[in-house]
Amino acid sequence: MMKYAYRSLVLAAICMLGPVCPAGAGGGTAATASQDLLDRPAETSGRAAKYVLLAAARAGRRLVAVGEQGIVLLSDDDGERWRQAKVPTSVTLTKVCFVSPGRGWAVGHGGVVLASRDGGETWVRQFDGREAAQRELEAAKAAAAQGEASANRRLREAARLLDEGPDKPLLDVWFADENNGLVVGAYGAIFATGDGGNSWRPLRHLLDDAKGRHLYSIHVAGRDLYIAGEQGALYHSADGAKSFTAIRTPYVGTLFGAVSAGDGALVVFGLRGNAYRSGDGGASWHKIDLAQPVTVSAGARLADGSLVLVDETGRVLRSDDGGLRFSPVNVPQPSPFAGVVQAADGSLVLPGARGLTRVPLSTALLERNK
Amino acid sequence: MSIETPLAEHPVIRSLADFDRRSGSLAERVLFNNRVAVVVLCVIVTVVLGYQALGLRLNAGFEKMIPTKHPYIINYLENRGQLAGLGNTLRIAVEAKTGTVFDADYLDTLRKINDELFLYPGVDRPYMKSLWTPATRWTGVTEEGLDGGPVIPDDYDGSPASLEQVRVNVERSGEIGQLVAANFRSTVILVPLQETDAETGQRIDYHDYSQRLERLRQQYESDAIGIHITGFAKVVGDLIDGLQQVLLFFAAAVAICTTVLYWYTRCVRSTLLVVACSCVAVVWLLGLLPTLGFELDPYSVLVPFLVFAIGMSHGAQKMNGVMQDIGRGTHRLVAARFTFRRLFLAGFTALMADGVGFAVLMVIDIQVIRDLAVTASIGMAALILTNLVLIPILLSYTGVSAAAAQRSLNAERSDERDTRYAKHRFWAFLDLFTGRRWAGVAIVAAAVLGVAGFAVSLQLKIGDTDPGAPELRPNSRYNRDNAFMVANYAASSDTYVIMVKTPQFHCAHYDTLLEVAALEWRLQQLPGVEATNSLAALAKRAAVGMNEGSLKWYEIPRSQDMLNTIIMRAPRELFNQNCDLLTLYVSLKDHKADTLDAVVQTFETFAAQHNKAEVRFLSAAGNAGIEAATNIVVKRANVEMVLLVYLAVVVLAFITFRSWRAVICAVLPLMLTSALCEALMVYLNIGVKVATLPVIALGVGIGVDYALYVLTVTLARLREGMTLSAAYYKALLFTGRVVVLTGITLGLAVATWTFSPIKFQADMGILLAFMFVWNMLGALILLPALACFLLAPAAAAQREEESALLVPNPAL
Repeated sequence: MMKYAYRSLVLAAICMLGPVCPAGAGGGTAATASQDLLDRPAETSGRAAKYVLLAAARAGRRLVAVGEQGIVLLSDDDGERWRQAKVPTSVTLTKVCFVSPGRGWAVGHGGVVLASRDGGETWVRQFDGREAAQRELEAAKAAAAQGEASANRRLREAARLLDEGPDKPLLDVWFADENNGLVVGAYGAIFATGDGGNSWRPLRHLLDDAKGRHLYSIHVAGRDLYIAGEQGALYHSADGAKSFTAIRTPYVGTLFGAVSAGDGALVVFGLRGNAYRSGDGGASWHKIDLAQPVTVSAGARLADGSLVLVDETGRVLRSDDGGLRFSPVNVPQPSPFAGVVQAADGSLVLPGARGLTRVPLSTALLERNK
Repeated sequence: MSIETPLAEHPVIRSLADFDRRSGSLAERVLFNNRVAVVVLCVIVTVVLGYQALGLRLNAGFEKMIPTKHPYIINYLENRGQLAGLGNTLRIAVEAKTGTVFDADYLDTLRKINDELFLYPGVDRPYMKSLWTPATRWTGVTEEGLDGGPVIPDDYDGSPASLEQVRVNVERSGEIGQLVAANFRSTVILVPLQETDAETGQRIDYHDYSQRLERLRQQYESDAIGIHITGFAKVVGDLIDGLQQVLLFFAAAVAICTTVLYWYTRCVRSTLLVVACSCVAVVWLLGLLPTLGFELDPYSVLVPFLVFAIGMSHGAQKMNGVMQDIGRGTHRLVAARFTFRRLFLAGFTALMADGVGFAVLMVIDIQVIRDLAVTASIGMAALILTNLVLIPILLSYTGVSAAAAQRSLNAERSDERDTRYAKHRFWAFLDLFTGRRWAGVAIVAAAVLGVAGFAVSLQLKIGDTDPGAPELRPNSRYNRDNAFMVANYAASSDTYVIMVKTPQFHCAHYDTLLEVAALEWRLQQLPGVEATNSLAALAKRAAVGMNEGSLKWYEIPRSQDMLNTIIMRAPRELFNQNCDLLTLYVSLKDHKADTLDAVVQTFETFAAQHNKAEVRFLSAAGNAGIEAATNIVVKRANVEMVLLVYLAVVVLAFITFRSWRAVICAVLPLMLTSALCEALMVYLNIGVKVATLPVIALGVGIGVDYALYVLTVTLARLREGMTLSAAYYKALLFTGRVVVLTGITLGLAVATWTFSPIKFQADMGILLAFMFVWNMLGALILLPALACFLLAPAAAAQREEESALLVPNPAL
């Protein structure tokens, strides 16, 4: 069997670092003729619910799902029917988060941050990759002015970010309230806002990761904030993202997310069916057997306290015992799933490669919910 | 004879001695004064062409069925070398009937079939694809990066562990729904074919190919294995198989025509003579085709039927004329010459009209239709010699049986005495339409029908209206196989391919891919589009793959370096070696006209907005793309062809009648039939396509015969001073009865096609039968009704002039 001597991360990182990258055919970016995807309003489609959808969230009773081509879908009947919202950009949106029935944010490719004040009906762009590079440069200059040790490296990185343009996606967004929020993304991007997203400041220096690993998800349990990412990266903040500590995890592959298992326990999950549980804040980890070496892409804690994980072959795994053991839930139409959210009626709504899948929870489960 | 009937333009000449051999036209003198030479020549020609006919081949080339001058097809042909395995691909699904495909026996059988197909002639081997071809690979993400290899591992040994490995590899190969059915109960072998074999330079013999495939099916199909085959080569092969049954229909048509003719004449001798001469015309045609380098294809195979049936119609007219003269006592040679004199021009004009009707089909830029036009025109030329010349000459030798002649005479005499038309209720009924009242009724009814028919015909669809291969019946083996493919595989058998030309090495440019993605999006919104694929779509999937399979990366990477990395490992179906041509595949639900129209519209709108010097979107390849181009050509040709065929008929009719009123009388009924035929197509859900395009031209060409025969005699009698009623009645007695006879025999003969396993032949049978019968009714009902208003007043005026000078005509 042939194995490609090829590592996506390493190659991408090398390319980012500039001169060693071979200039291929037609190399170099040239955004000329066509309008940039960031500036192109999303087109509407009667088939939008069948496109690749990556995340969903609750805005009160309403469900909001986001995905490729700037698609944002809204459902007011717990995921039975969906309609498309007006969105000012056509890039792939990766995550969505609401703090109230009205106010929410979505992030996506091109480093875009969108905000809505009307429960997802309309969106405005607050931030994007071009601006992000500017903020990084300003922050690096400020650091240099204060004579920080890492300032030179940060200046170089910021210059490169400016040069490369908005080619790095944001991968997760979380807001504590209407003002304070956090976004994370590829190559170690992390920004915070204190004014509802009008202005963003880079927090890259707080993680201090020279490798610039992708940050895939933010998970918050009470005062504890976790950020999971590439190569087993896991950061913890107990002070509202003012400072972070890196937690050692037993896995070297990517962690796509984390979910609270109750009683302060945490479950992290990622590539090739790797999932670990820690009951002591990350000091010790216990491997969870998920039966298949298949990537787990998302997880959630349901209203009844049970945990669900979804994977890229369309399995939905559920645990009743705080994440010690998982067993598969019957899914009528499996598709590579990218997210999971529980609707107000208790059913699961699963965005994925073939659009939205709705799994009504069995009567037994509903009873337990009460 | 005491009564000099007006029918007998020529005197009764009982003995040759009384006949002036130098009378008649030059043609008549040359032919009839050298009868032996003509007959001998015909015999020699028949023997030679009969021998030649043995070399006739049945075939249907892919390129013959497409409009090679249409811009879409030009684009396709220009870029064909760069497009991998498109247009002519066999899909062979091997089904595991009892379990899944992850079974050692199954995979072993699949390998044998794969290896056997690999060696078939004309296979474009580098692009052949199945589980067993090395090009079928899987990729997977590990902590170290990407991993990949052939789906069936090199160390495959049929063990459970190996089979499990295959299963896992299939899961991550991205071939589910493409090469492997989603239910894991079948896999597909894709066999792209080249029209000419690269090694031998020979064209594919589709019939032979289809038989090979059937043998393969027989060899491997069992309780455990099912084989389903689709693809152009199989359709054509099945068509050619179906054609062999056409021989049966030919026999049936001959039998029906012979029986009806015998019933009419009760004369074995002349019946056989007419049948034989019509067959001679068919032999000449079949002999001339290979001599001139033509082949018979599933479309032109119907021409011999038409030639035969038309031959019967003209032969019957000649025979009828000779019989009437002989019955009156004229010597058979003289009778033959008189008949030749009376009817040669009408017959010649009618055959010319047929020939021109067919020749008009030459304007259509589709080779099979041109071949059909040439074939039919050759047939008409043969008929002029065999049925207008050879039949009278042979009749001059054989005469007709005395009993038949007597019967004809008796019938004629009783007709003459029967001045109140009591004997023939049908003729009497038809004669009603020469009166103003009934004529008015007929014309109003026809106008209503015409308007209604036209209104309905506006809904006429262009192209195919059924899924699957519309040439074959919906329940045919092929269409069941096709339904299997559609049910089990996401990639439908109907692919529309759009080509995107870029400067060299720029095919993977980010901006280009954005444009391609934008077009894809628009196409995806069409209800007939099931899926699309392109380098843009691949770039999104590859971005996911390059980022550990995380769907969050599902976007065309903005980094050109990343894109360049992607194309290094992208499959070659999506772009060419020079990286200056991208292919966008659009899988369609079916190839119905509406579906294709929508794709073409969307494409054209997009191309008009987005084509620029560096990046040009070109349509179209793929079977659906080619069909779309064919539809466009057929749609235009349908209008052009109808206009041209009517122009030709009008010109010929004017030459014959020298009266524009008569031309209107002859042509309007044909137009009514054409409109109704299109309405019938709407009702029967038959679209205008390569197969049905010729029907109207054929129907009009042959339909004008009736009008020519009826109107020639009617006009002659009118000019002799008869009333329209009397003139028309005479025409009915002389040529009208044969018009009815041939209308019915032709209708019956083509109606036999309804039983053809080939659907378009059945469609053509129904439509042609309809046209033949309606044209006959038009010639017998609407024609006199129109004549009542257009011809009768003029004739009456002329009569009044004459009667002022002469004694009143007793016939009035």
